[in-house]
Amino acid sequence: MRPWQRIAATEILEQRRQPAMLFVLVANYLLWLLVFGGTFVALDFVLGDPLGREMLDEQLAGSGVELDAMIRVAVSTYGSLSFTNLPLFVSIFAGNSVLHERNLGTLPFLLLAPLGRRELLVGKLAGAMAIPLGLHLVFVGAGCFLFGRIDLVDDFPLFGGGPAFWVGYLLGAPASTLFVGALGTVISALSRDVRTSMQTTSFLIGLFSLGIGYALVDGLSEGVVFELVFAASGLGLAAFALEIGARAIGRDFA
Amino acid sequence: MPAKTAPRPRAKPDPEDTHRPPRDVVARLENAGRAFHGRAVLRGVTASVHAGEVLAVVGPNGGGKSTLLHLLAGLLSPTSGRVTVDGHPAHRLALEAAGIVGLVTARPGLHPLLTGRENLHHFGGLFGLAPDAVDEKAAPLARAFALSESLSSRVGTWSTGMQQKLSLVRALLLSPKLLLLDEPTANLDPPVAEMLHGEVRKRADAGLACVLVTHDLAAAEAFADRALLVDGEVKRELAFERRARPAPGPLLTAWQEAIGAR
Repeated sequence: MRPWQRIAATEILEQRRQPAMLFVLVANYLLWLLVFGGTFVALDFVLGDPLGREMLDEQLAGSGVELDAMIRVAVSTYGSLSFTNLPLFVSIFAGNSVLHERNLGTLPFLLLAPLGRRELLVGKLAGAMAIPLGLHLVFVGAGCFLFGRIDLVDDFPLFGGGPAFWVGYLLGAPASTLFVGALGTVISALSRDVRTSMQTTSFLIGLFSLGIGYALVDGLSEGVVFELVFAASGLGLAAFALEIGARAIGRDFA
Repeated sequence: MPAKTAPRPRAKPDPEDTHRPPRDVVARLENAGRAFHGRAVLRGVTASVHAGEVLAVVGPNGGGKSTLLHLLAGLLSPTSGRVTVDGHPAHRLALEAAGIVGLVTARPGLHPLLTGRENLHHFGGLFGLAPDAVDEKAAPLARAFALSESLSSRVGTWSTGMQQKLSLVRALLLSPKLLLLDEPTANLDPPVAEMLHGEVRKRADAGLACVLVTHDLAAAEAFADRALLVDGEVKRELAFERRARPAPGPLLTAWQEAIGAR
């Protein structure tokens, strides 16, 4: 095991030892699955009955809302929220990753090891990515599978399982998250206190995480090329952020 | 009345470092200085650390003791002069000769959610040691520090003394040539502090070069061969004559007998 892999493995082990934190992450995904799943199933049930559909159309018309538009917004909102979780969780983990070592007093011992600054950042980023990425694959995949069986929404690219979805789900989301995570990791390395790191990371979350979620989901209708370009941009920006970060940290890091 | 401890076989140190054979010198500071944001914390320090000795570094808070230790560890680079360990520039040790320096700090610096063994696997793994190799190297050290039974429990549940002993085990895991101790007993009760100092002395007698930064002047006089009095620069250098280790007082003796060092 290379040193960066060892750092990542320890980071993951520490996260696994915090079941309450893992529960919160899982609960977040489950919440969206239950809320939107329940809504889609209920709407599908109501619309399956001609009388129910008539009554719903009447009520929506009275509010000036179009049924199809409402369903589109609901699907887009679900997709954005579930795709936002990955960069959101990773930025939180990454934003505390190196700083955590500083606070524990373990940082000097890492720096005695034959480990470059870049390798340290990569190990921390990998550790911050692993569990959220696993949750993303399980729960976003489960959402696609389950909601793709509901007549009401099965035509949407998010649930249809088309090529754009697979590229966004497997490449676009992880790659763009790498970029946000890399920024978080560098911030945590440069910060001397939790408040600075968390405030800066929160800014990142607001700026990038929500944007990534919406861009990935709305980009599904743009097709595979858009999702591929998005993924490549994420990878390139992540590599750039890590390189700049490794240089910025400097020699007297401890 | 407790029996007096027998004198340790300690060679009288040679105050003229340059007269020692070069192979004895493990670490050397040559006119080394360090400034932070333009303010010099340490100036013109010239000193050597030899195999088989404990060099105590004492002085006031903010006097540059820990900076000196960090220079030796390579965690800081000097802004003037030169610092070498085993012939390597100290700030390049991690790349050129990782593992020849062991470090113990005032805070144990361990992962509380990991077990003692997992901590050792983690830090050993950073130096390329496989878990089996770590276990093999750690076993005699853990026995010496009475930690064998505890290695499977999480470090966060341990006493500070146990954590600091594990920190020393970690520092010795790679059989370093230079052991750096930055106030290792600052948060420890007297018997554990005594035990740690004794273990360090034992390793020094076996040939390890040790640098002990401490505020405990009595411990420095009892366990070190030489001392640097540092306050921005080396104000004095003292060599201690070979002498018997002072017998523990009645309170420490009673504590050791009734409670032990844990």
